[in-house]
Amino acid sequence: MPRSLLALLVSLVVAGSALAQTGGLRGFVTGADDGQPLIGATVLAQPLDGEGNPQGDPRGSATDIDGLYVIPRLDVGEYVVRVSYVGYETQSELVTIEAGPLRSYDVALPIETGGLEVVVESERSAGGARVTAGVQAIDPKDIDIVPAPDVSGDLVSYLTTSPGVVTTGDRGGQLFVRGGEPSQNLVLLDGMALYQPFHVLGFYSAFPSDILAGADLYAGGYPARFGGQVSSVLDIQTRNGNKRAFATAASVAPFVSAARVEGPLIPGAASFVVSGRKSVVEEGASRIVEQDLPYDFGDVFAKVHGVLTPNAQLSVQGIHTFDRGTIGEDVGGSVPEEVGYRNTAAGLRFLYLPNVSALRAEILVNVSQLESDQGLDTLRNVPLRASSIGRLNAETNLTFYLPSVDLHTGVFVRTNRLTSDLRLVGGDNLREFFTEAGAYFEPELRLGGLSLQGGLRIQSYPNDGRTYLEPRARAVYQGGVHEISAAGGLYHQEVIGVNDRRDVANVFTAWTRARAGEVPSAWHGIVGYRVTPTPWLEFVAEGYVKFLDNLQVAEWTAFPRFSTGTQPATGEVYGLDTRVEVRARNAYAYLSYGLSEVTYDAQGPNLELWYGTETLRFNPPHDRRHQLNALVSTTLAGVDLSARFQFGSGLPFTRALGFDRFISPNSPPDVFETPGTRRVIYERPYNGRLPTFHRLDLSADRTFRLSPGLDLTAQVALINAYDRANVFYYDTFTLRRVDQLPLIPSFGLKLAVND
Amino acid sequence: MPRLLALVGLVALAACSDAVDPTVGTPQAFSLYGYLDPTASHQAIRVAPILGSIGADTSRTLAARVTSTERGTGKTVAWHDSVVTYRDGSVGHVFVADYTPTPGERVEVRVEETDGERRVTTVEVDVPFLARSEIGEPLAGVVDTTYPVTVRGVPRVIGGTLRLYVTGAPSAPTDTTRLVVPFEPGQLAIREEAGQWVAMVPFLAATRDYLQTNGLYQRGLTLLEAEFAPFVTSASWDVPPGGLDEEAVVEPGTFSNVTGGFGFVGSGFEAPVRWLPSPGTQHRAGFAIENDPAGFIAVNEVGDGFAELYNPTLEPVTLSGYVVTADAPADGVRFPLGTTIEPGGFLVVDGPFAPTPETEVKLLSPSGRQVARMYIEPPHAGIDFGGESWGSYPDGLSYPLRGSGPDDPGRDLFHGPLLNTPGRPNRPSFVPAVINELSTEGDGGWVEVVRAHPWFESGSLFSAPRDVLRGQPAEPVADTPFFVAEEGDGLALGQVEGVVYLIASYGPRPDPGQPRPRRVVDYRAYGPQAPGRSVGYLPDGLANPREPDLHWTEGLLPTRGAPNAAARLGL
Repeated sequence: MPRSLLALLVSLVVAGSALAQTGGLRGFVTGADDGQPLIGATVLAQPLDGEGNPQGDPRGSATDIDGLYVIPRLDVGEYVVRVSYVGYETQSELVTIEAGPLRSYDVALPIETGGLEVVVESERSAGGARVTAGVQAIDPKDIDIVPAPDVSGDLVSYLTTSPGVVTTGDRGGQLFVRGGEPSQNLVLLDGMALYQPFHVLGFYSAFPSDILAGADLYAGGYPARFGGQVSSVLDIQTRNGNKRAFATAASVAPFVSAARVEGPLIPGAASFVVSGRKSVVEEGASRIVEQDLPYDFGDVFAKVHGVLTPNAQLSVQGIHTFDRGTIGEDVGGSVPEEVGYRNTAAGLRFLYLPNVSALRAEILVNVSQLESDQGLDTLRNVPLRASSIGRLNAETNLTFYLPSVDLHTGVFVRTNRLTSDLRLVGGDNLREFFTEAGAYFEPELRLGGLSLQGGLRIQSYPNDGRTYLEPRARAVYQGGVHEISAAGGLYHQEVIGVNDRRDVANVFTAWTRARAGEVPSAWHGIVGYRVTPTPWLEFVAEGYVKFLDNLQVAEWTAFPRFSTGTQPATGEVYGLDTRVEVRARNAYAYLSYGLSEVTYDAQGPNLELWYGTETLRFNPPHDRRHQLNALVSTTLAGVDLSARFQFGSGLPFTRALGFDRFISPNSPPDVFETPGTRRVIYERPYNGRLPTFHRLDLSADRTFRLSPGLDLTAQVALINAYDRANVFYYDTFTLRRVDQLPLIPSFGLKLAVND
Repeated sequence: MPRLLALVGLVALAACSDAVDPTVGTPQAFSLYGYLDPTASHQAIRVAPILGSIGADTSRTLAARVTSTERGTGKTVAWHDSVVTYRDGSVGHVFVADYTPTPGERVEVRVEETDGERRVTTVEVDVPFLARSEIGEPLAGVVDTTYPVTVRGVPRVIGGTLRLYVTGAPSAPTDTTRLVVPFEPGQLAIREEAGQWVAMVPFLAATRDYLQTNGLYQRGLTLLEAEFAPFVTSASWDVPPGGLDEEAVVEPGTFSNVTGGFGFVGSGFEAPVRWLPSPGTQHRAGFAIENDPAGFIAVNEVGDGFAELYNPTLEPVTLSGYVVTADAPADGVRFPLGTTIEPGGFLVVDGPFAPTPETEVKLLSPSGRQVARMYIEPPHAGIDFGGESWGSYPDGLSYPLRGSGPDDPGRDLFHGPLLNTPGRPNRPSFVPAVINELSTEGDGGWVEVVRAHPWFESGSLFSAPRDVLRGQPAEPVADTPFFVAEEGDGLALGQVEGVVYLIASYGPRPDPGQPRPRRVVDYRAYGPQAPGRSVGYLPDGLANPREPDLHWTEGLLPTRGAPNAAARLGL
C-alpha cells in the first residue's frame, strides 16, 4: 500500500508538471489593509488576442480559505486578470502566461472607498441559502446578524438558524444535525478535532465570530476528505492576525466577557491573534433573570501565522475550552450532578505550493483532547464518572490540477486514546490506544456547468485488521440561475459516544470504541435545488436521507435514571430543508423551514419479552418534526437592528403509565425488609411530545467612533422577548418541568482599537 | 415578508400549548409482591400502588381492601394493612393475614381500591404440597465438598438457604448463633431429574469463603449443625438455574402473574434438612475441630460382651487401626485394615465389654489418642431398670453436664440405660412418658405427652439437641394423664418436617437433696403436616417399647390434652 501510493503520487506530480503547452496562474488574494486572506474573491483570466481584444470565454476561480486561487491549464498567451471582492476595489492587470509551471500572481486589494458598498451577488459564496449538496458556507459577518446576548456573535447561534440543526434546549451544548447525534458530528478547527466544542450554555461555542475566517457545515454527504463520524462535519477556519497593525477589542455582556489582541510579529509576513472569553453568568445574567444559573465556561485561542515564502505559509494554533455546570435541577430528591468538560487542541498547518507542479499541498499535525466528568465521589474527591478522548493526527492533503480533472487526495495517520471510569458500573473502566491510517482519492471533473466529484476513502485500523472502504459522490449542475446538486456516501464511526439520551439533562458522554461487527455506519443521500431568480433573492430546497446502522442507544429499562448500558439500533432520517434569503440594499431576511423525521429501531434481547417484537421503533428525543427560523436585519439611523424568531415542534418525551416498586422474583422476598426498586412503568419510549418551542430574540447595536481607530459598540438585546416558557425538559418522575431561559434583557459594550 | 413572519408567529403562538401531559395513566392499580407459605401461620404481601410520580410512595394509608379465597375449600380471609417504613425511607404497605394456605389449593388474592375507580387487581396462586428434603452422601473434591439435597414430588425448587448453628462466635461465645451463608451467583446448582429436584450445596466452598470474609476462619468456631433449606415453589415461579435477568424482568408485565396490575406473587416454603459435616470437611471450612476422620464416631452402646459404634455423619469413616477398649489399649480390640463404618451405620465390636457403672469404654485412634468415650453413670438409688445395656438415646447424641465436684464425673442428658439393641437403633429401657400427639399448625403448635409410668415427674420438649436445656415445659392437663408443651423458645414445630425430643425427670421420690434422674426418654421425627391435622398414637400411648412407631398415626383430629381421635371422614 505505501509503495503503490508513493508511485501514484510521483506519477501525479510528474503529470502535473508536464502540462506541455499550457501554463497557469495561481496566487493569494489578501486585503491590503490587514493582510487577511479574502475568501471567495473572484479571479477571472480573460484571454486576449494579438490585438489585445478579448477572445473566448474567461477562466475563473474563487479563492479558498487561504485566499488562494488556482487557474490551471491556461493556454499560453496574454490575459487580463480581474480580481474582485465585496467591499474592495476591483483590480485588473495584464498577465502573460507562459508554458511551464503555474505563474504566481498575488493580489492585495485595497478597501473600497468613496461610496456605498455595492453588493455583487454573483460573487457571494456564503450565506443562509448558499447550500449546495449539503454544505453551507458560513461567513462570519452573517453570524453577527443573529441576535445574541453579546456584542460579538458566536458560530453556534448561526448554526441553529439552519433548518437541519436541532438543539434540545439552551443548556448542554448538544447539536443534532439532520438527525445525527452530537457525538456523530466531526468538528474541525484548522484541522484540529474538537470533540465537545459547544459551551454548556447554548448561546456559546468555542468559536466567537471574530476569530473566524469561515466555516463549512456539511450536514451530510460530505466528501472523502472527511471521515470518522457518521452525521456531519463542521469545518472551521480561523482568521490570521492583522499583519499590518496591532488591534485589540474587549467586550462585556451579561453572559460573557471577552478580549482579543492581534498584530504583526513581522510586519506583512507574520502575525498573531489571541482571544479569550470567560463566562460571567453568575455575576451577570443570573442576577438579571433572578434565577440560579450555575454555569462556568470559557475559552482561549491563539494563532500565529506566517508567510514563509511566496509559496509556503505556516500557522500554529491552539485552543482550550472549559465548561462546568449543572444541567438539570434538583429532582426526585437527588441533587443533579455537575458535569464538566475541557477541550484542548494544538497544531500546525503548513501550506505549500511547489513551483514545479500544479499542486497544492497542506500538511497538518495536531493533537486534540477532551476530558469529561460528572458528579463527585466525595469520599475520594474524584469524579463519579469520567471519560476522555484524544488523538494525535498527522495528515497531508494534496490537490493536483491535472489536465482534465482536479484530484484531491491525502493520507493520514492517527493514534487515538480513550479512557473511561464509569464507577456506576463497577469495573467498567477502559484504557485504550489504537492507531488508524488511511487515504482518500477524490477526482473532480468539471464539464461546463456540471461538476462531478467521485471519491473513495480508505480507513484502516491495523491493530485490529479493520478496514473501511467508503465511496463518496457529489454532483453539481449550474445552469443560469438554477443549480441542482446531489451528494451521497458511506460513513463509519469507530469511536462512539455513549450517552443516556433518556435524560435530556444528562450530557455526559462516555467515549468507547465500537465492538467488531458493531461499528456504526451511515449512508447519506442528498438532492438539492437552488435558484437565484434575482441578485437579491435566493431559494434553496434540499431533501435528504440517512440510513444509520449499528447505533448504540441507551438501553431501555424501567430502572430510572442513568444507564451506561446500550443496545444496538438502526436509524432512518428523512428530511426536507428549505431556505429563502433576501439581501436588499439595507435589509437582510432569511427564512428557513425544516421538515424531518428521525426513527430508531432498537434491538435488544428483552424487547421480545417486553413488547412482543424484536425491535422497538421510536422517534428519539431530538426528532424535531418541524423547525422554522426567521431572521431579519436592517440598519436605521446607524443602528443595526436584528430580529430572530424560532419555532420548533415539540420534541419526543416519554410519558409513563405510572410508577411503582419492583421486587425481584429471583428469590423469595422478605417484604418487610425489601423496599424494592423504584420503577417506571413505560408504555413505549418517547410516546409523547413536549409543547412546541418558539422564541423571539431582538437586538440593536450601534458603533460609535470615539476617535480614529477607536470604536465603541453598544448593544441592547432581548432574548426570549415575549418571555415564552419553553420546556427544556420534563421530569416525568417528579412531574417537574424545567424551562429554558426566560426573558433576558442584555446590554453589552465592546471597545475596539484598530479593529 | 414582515407580514408573513408576523402571521407565522401568530400561528405558532396560537397553536401550541404550554401544558405537559406527563402520564398516560393505566387501568392497572397495584403491583403485588410476596408469596404464600403453606408452612407459615402468617402471610404477607406487599401491595405497591401504581402512582403518578416516582416519589409518591410516602402515604401511610392505602385505600385498598385485600382478601384471599381458596378455590377448593372456599376459605376466605381478610387481610389487613401493615405500614412499613423501610431503610431507604420509603413507606410500603404490606398486607398480612393470620392464615395458613392449604397445600394443593389455588388461592385468589384480590386487591380492590376502596375509593376512586375501584379498580381491582387479582392474582391466582397455586400452593404446592408439602415435602421434606433428604441429604445425600457428599461429593468431595479438591476445593469443595458438595452435599446433594433432594426434594421429591414438588413442582419446583428455586434456591435455598444455608444456615450454620455454631458456638464460639465472637459476639456470643457461649450461645448458639445462627449464621446464614450466602452463595455466589451460580454457585448453588439446582436441577430437576426424574421428578425430583436436587440442589448441590457447595458447603465447603461457601462456608470457607463466608468465614474468611467475616474473620471467623479458624477462629475457634464450633459447628453444631448445618442446615440447608431448599425453597420449594409452585410451578409458575419459573426461575431458570442462572436466575432471571433483572434487566428483563424489571419491565412491568414481564414475569408477572398479576391481573389488573403488575408484580409477581408466588407460593413456596422452605424444606430444611440438617446434618453434621465430617471433621475433615469442617476443618477445611475453618471450624475449630481436630481433624480426625473418626472425630464424630460415637461409642453408642455398651452391653455384655459388646460395644457398638455409631457414625452420625453422611460419610463413611475408615477405622483401620483404631482401638475400642474399656481399659488399656492393649486390652482392647484393634480394627483390622479395611474396617469401615457406613454413614448412619452401626459397628458392633465383640470383646471384653460390660455396662459396669462408673467405667468407660473408649475409642482410640491408631496413635492412642482418645476419639470418643462412653461413661456409664452410677445408678440412682431406688431405681432398678433391669437395663441390659448403656448408651446414647437417640443414637450418637450427647450433652454432658459437668459434675458438682472432683468426685462427680457428671452425667449426660442423652445417655442412659437401654434395651439391648446391638447393631440397631437404641431404645431406652425405661420410658416414663412418651410424646403422644403433636400439632404444627402455625405458631400455635403444641406437643402432647402422656404419662406411661407413675415415676414420671415432669418433662420438657425441644426440637434440636442443642436446645436440650431450653425446652418448653410440658404442663399437666388437669384430671388427665396428659401434659402439653406449647411451641416456643427451644421448641419450633415446622410444618414441613421436624424432630421433637422429650426430656423427663422421673423416679421415686429421692432423698432430700438428691435429684431425680433426668434424661431424654423419647423423640419423634415427623414429615410434612396437613393443615388442621395432627399426628400421634392411636390409641394413646406407647404400645411396645421396642416398636415406637406402632400405632403412630397421621391425619388425626387434633385433641390437645385429650385422648387422640381419628379425623372423621370428610373433615
